[in-house]
Amino acid sequence: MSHTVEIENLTKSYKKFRLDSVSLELPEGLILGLIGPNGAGKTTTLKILMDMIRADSGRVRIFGLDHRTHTKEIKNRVGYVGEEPQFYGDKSVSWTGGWISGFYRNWDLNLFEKMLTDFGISRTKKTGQLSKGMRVKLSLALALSHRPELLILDEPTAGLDPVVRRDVLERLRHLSKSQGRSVLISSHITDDIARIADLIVFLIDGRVTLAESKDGLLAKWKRIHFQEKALEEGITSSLKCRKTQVFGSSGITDNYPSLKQRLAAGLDSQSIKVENLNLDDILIACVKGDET
Amino acid sequence: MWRLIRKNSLMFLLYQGLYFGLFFPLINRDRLLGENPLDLSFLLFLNTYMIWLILGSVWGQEQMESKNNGYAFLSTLPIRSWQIVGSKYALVFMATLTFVGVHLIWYAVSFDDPVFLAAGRTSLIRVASMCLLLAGLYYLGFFRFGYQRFSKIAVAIWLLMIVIPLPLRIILKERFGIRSSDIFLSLNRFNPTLMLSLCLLLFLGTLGLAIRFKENLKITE
Amino acid sequence: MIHILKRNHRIFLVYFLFILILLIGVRFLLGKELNVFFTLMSGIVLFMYTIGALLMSEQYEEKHHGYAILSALPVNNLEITGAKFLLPLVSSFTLTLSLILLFSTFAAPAPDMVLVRSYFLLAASTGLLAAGLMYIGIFGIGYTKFVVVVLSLTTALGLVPMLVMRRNRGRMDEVIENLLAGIRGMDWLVLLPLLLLAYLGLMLLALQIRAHRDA
Repeated sequence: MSHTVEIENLTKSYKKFRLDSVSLELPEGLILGLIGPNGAGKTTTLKILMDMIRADSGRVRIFGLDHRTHTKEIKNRVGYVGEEPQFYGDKSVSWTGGWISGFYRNWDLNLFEKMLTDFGISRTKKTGQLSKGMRVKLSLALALSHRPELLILDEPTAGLDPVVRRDVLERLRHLSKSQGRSVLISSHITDDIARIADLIVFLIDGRVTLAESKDGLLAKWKRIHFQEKALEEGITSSLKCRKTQVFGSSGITDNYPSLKQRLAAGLDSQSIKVENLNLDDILIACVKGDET
Repeated sequence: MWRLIRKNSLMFLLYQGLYFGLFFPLINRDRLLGENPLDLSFLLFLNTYMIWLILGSVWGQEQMESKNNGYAFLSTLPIRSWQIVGSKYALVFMATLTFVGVHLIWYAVSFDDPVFLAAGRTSLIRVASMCLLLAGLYYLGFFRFGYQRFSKIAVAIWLLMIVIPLPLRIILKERFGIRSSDIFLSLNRFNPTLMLSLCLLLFLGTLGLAIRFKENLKITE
Repeated sequence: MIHILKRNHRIFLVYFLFILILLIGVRFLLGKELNVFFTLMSGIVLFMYTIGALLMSEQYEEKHHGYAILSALPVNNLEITGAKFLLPLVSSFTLTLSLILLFSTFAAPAPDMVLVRSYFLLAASTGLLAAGLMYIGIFGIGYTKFVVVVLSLTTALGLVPMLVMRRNRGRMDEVIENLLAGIRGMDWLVLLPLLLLAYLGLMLLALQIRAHRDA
């Protein structure tokens, strides 16, 4: 499978933050969710991909092209929605669309018009008068109207109401599944990522701490509830986020398939119970590590 | 209000610091060494520099407010509009007073010639009056139109101020028989204290209007 | 590049028309004789036009995060910087030509007209070089910091001519006469290509600075 995005050992240092040897790959036609707490380096990574920030070292290839030497070609094939969509606030929506269309080879005016209608954005309104949600919607409409092969979205659902958020996510899933477009989406709203992503990358303190398919991740990470002495000592000590309460103890494993055999007896006797985790739980476990 | 004044004082301190810290000693060095005694025309020219120092500080300060969405931020704090506007005007007043005060002390210490002294003081008061009036009008414009729009207008006004004296002179002379030198002389005879009082009144008037604009328009630029 | 020009041309055009209409208006108030004050004032306005329009154009970009918008679009640094440098060049020289045409309606001896033309070209060239330096400053440290720095620098530099005037007290007529002779004697066939070359050099420097600066 060819890769739409390949990042190798990307490094960028600021005074109080360092993006440290980030590597990841996004295969064609899949959705990759970049998850991490605030200040983890998600926006920095995406801005480096867009050549809006210069990396100190590392290599980025998009569509097999170097992102620095083929910036224009790449941007013609990429749709980008920034963390805080920026427009010339004194210009109308239709002026903005018309102006931006001039930069792209494959601008589809009908598609843009249709999306404005779908999103309920007034064409005559000045972009500075749009609400935060409307700004995100306009940004999405602009990012999709040149039919990009890759979408880079930085927290695109932040500020959207649940109905529109669901609609946006469905559109993204549709674009990926039926049109084979790749999507790289960052968010700290893990529900959104869980809903649409095929691959998950956890970025914490500027480092990739986890990179896995969503299904693989959810299969590996489980919370184990157990009564005292029901677990082997080796397993207990390997658990993250251990807690001991009146009714028993619990902890999180990141390697459930390999433990499954050794837990079978406990599962049968119901002295051990296994609970599925969501991405939020996994993120918290990753951030807190072995903290109990 | 003191906190607001302190927040806004950076630009004023920078420019006054440059003037008093860099050029003042340079000018005085020449004078003390007796290499190049000060003449009145140079002194008067130096006084007019106050207008640049004050208006430059106002412009720089407002650019920083615009960049950092300062007014939007201030509007979330428990501060009244009059305090926000008042602090701006107070700072202009304090900066003008500092300039005038330091110069007056300088005159008193350095010059003996009473004619020289009187001319210097008169010009200082006149320039200070103009300075207060112009700064008041500047702020009035900023609070009425917002920084972005008003700075465009201000550039046009400055261009106009370069161009307009010539046609004005021609029109006054040809249509009304008034010579511009006569106007200048009569302005020069205008009592400086009266001029200062008038400009102070106008300064306060623009302050009142600016507070009203800020209240009504809620410009958050 | 045309789309970037489309975004920035308005302020240059508005000030251009404002100045031209104003100067044409003043011209018709004057007689046939060349007016020294009008000449001097027009040159200052020509210089200020480039600076003022550029500052206002960049202030707009700053307010609306214009460079961040452009950096997300398929347009490279050369096109952005090129467009930025092209506008002052074209507009300033168009205004210069318009002024030369306007002043040709005066009746004046040929050497005086040479002086007027040379003076306008000098004003436009100085404005243009200042514009190039301003772009370098703005690309390097951002508009707001630049305004603070440039105002401070102007505060500092503003006193230099005064000091020069003091040092040359009693000899100012001679200084002015020399200055005028210098301006009259400028060979613009040589100077104009040199100016364009210098402007191009400033553009390349600005391009380098932009290439190493995050959006």
